[in-house]
Amino acid sequence: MKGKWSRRKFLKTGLGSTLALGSGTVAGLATAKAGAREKSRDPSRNLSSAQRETLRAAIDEIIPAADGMPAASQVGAVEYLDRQAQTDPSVQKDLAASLAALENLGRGKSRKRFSALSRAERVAALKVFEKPPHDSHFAALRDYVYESYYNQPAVWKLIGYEFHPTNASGPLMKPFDESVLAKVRKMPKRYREAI
Amino acid sequence: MPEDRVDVLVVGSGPAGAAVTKRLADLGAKVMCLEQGDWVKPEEYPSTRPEWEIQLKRGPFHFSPNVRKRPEDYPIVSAGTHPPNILMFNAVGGSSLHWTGHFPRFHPSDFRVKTLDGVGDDWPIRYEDLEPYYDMNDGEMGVSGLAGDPANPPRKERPTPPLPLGVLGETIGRGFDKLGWHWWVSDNAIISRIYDGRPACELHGKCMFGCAIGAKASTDVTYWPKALKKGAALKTWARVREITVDPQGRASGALYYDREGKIHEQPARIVVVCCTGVGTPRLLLNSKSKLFPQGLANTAGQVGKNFMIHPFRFVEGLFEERTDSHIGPFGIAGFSQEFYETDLSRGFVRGYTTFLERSFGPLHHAWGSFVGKPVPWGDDHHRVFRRRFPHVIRLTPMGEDLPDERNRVELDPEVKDSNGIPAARVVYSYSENSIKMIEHGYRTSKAALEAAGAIEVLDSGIIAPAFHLLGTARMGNAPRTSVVNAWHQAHDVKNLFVVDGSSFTTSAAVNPTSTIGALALRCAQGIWERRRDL
Repeated sequence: MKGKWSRRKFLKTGLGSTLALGSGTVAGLATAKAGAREKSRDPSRNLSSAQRETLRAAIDEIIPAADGMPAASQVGAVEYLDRQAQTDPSVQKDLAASLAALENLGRGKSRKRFSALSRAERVAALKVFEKPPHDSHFAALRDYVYESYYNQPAVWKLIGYEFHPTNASGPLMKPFDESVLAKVRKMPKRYREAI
Repeated sequence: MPEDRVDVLVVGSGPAGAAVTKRLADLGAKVMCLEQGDWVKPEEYPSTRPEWEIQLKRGPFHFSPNVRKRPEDYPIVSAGTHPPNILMFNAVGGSSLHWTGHFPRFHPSDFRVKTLDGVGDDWPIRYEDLEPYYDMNDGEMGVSGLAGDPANPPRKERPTPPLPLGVLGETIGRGFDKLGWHWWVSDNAIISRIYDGRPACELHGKCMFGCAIGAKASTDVTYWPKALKKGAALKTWARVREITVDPQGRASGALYYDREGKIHEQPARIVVVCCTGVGTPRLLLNSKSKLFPQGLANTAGQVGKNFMIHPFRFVEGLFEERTDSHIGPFGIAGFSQEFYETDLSRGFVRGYTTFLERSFGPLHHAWGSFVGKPVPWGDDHHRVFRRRFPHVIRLTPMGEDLPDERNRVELDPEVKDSNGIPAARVVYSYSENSIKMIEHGYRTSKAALEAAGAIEVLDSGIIAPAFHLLGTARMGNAPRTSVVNAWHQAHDVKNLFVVDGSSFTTSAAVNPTSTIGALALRCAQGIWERRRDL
């Protein structure tokens, strides 16, 4: 199914002309630049060292090293989330709330910081954390940890995933084979006529 | 200060507005379109970036305007027993930027629901009236697919051949064959060959986060370049507050805000509203005047009523072998219409299509995929993740929703957009018929997945992701029960037309975009032919 065009030719005629149209039309609208929507990094939104410590302790219980796969912290998950927090206030707010709730839970039981708990104690604390009334904080933390893990090229390689950006060449697929519909083709008409 | 009067003013630049504008420009009309969003440049699309899946949770390309909150978005309040999650996009091309590209047609029976099945209403047009416009729209958009489907009326050879089915398509096809059920490769407005100056699909997937090469037929790369070349005008960052009327009760143009919040008046001989099944009733209801105190085209109180979406259920089968459902164009790979036409022995009236759909990437799978079941955390995480990715095949039964006056779009009394225009408030509840239909769809999807070899089946339950916004300014012959006539002309206002998802009399059980485009082309033809009487 794939066209025989070279990458260069395709970019010149397809993407190239689309870009030309877009920029030509947008030219008069000074404030409509894509860059205006890009959020810049704000160091004041860094996770605190205490938050990072809690995060680092939780993250490897949520995605531990097992079955030939690395733990979350081994692929830069903490650093990823720190970067996300810097560029998106909603991430910082969610993470701060979840980590604070997790610390409060741990302190209520043992008066230790979450990071000071043994592995078994951390797992036990997270099992409490995932249930009501803490479940929404847990779900937010879990989803951010998954995001920080499955957005890592090192992980993609291990799970057999290839990322193909839509402005570059795509994957190969077997062309459509009409013979797969041979049985259906023999079916009688299956729609109703209506006058 | 009023601007120069145009022949036709179109509000909204999505699949309907683009088609109306281009067709009327082709025919020789002086047309202007007002769009509240902007052009989106291909390099802005999340599909060009590795972390594209984040947009499923947050960011400027999230499907919901309530989550992404771009300056051009307006808030939508949801209510009812099943509050719908309204999903749409405001930009040149509208929701076609986000759309999967799936391009099915209605069946002939979909236009005669009342006559054939005693429910809903009949459309004031027939399949045969729309067929030439379906063909014209296919030509403008560029379609891949295969003629010969026994579940649909014959159609011309598709402009480009089918996209690859992939492992998932061939696997589930064997399942349907084993059960003796219908299935077919889908028409998609994604071209598999170079077509009309656009490149062929490169099979990237991620189509719902923008096709940077323009192989998917979002109307910013299909209709709009040609419409502009023909002399049509397009104003972006133009948010229409109301359609204005003259002392005789004729539409006289529109008042709109520019990006800085400054109000402008655009006079026009004819006005066409194309703002989706939520945006259109919102605009008409907000267009109040002494002559039309209930809003424009609303003398019978029908604007905003009969809101329809499509009931969905996501069913995922896990397979031992790799299915690679994340690879390939997102537009529906195939579909079954085994249960499309009414058979009352099933316990419900009307029917559904079962879609064979691709999936997003690994992150979405970890988050729980379409069935909302996250991969467990802890020691079992990697084992369960590997069982699911890339081993899923998803079937989606999508049923026909029937019109019900209680399901509606109205103006919210409290929430407003950034220009002070009331937000849309959408009230919706599924009918018993829809619930029974989608329960049946779950059982048949499970059977098909198991016949294809699934070792486990996961299910979302009935859900309300409202991509398809329909029925709120519907077509009909009777002014008492509809808003526009067979040519999309408002019963109350001779030179006002409405065409988009809101025009649908009933919803059918297929994605609406192909029908929206065909209706828009037919509406444009009708305007042109009647222009001297309007």
